[in-house]
Amino acid sequence: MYYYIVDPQKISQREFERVQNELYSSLSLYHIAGEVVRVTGVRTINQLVENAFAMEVKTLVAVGSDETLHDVINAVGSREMVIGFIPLIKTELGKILGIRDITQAIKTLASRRIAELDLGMVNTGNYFLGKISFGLENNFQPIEIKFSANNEYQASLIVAGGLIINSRYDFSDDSKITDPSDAVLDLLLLPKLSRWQTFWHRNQISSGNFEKIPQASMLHVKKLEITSPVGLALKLEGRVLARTPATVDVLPQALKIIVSKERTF
Amino acid sequence: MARPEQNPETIVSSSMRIEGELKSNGNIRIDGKIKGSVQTQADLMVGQTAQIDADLIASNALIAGIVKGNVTVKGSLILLETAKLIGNISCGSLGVKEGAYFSGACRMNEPKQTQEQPEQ
Repeated sequence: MYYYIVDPQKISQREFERVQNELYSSLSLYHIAGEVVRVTGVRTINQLVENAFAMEVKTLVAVGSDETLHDVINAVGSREMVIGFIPLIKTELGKILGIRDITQAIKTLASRRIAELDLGMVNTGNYFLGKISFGLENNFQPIEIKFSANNEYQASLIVAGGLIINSRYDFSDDSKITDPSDAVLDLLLLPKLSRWQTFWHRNQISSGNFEKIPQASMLHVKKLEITSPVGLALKLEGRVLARTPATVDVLPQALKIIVSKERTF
Repeated sequence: MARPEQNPETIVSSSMRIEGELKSNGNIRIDGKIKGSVQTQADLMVGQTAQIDADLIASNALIAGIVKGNVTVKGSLILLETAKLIGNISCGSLGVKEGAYFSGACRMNEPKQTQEQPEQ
């Protein structure tokens, strides 16, 4: 049974009704109808996911934004569940999974191509499929960061910020940073930049392609322990997931998710 | 030799300090300070600003910075003009540019004999 959790937070009521109609007609067309529930102020994603488990649902579909998908992934946690995704807006994770729009997302669900992807985990129980960011605030105020990687080495340097990447959408890419099935996390550290350098590299900074900026650092880790500075916010989709000191691990093949043949990995 | 400076998978920038074992399956470029050991199955580029107090193991290596430690490469090792290497070398082939400093022993793998085909 399919259980659709619709999160309308990023779209207007009018747009939501249009989407809902499209969703209902397409789901029955492809024989993947199921229960459709809507997130509200009193029915959170956590509660709806628990309902799904109580109903012994086999496939849980997040309908909304990347934030919705991450919320569903976190609510499911380490439990067994196949997850699907219908993006209501253009999203980075949608592009990575090869899902462009509602119609194609529904065809993808119907074809049921299940991939086992890595999940990043911050401390215990905070999962991410995309990327975690830190710093990059207050006009890129430099911070001295200290961390250990894989229990093999300690490192320190001054940075403007950084990204811990499990997956990233990239048009061009010859690099392996984008792959959410490589069992490693990619740590990109943005160096302290002058105003002119910040302006010059603004596209790479906004797209998270720090590795294309001179003096950036790039490491590949399975386990990362950030010890300093204390209280540094680790953010997922702009929301604070945890604060340092924190441990970030990769959990290989921890997520069962339905993907399109047009996926990027 | 591949050019690790063009497609490095691991980059240690000049402001980074590392203590411990840095291991990678891909190319590494180091411009910072490292104490411990560095090991890769691919190519290693040690930039001009690098200060390394570590043993290095790589498939091929290009050194332009300061290295104190033993260097073991299967293929080619190239010391550029600005390189300063204090330690022993084991490599398949060696290139040293004028101006490079090297103090240590060097052991090179014997080139494989090419077998001549008997004339028909």
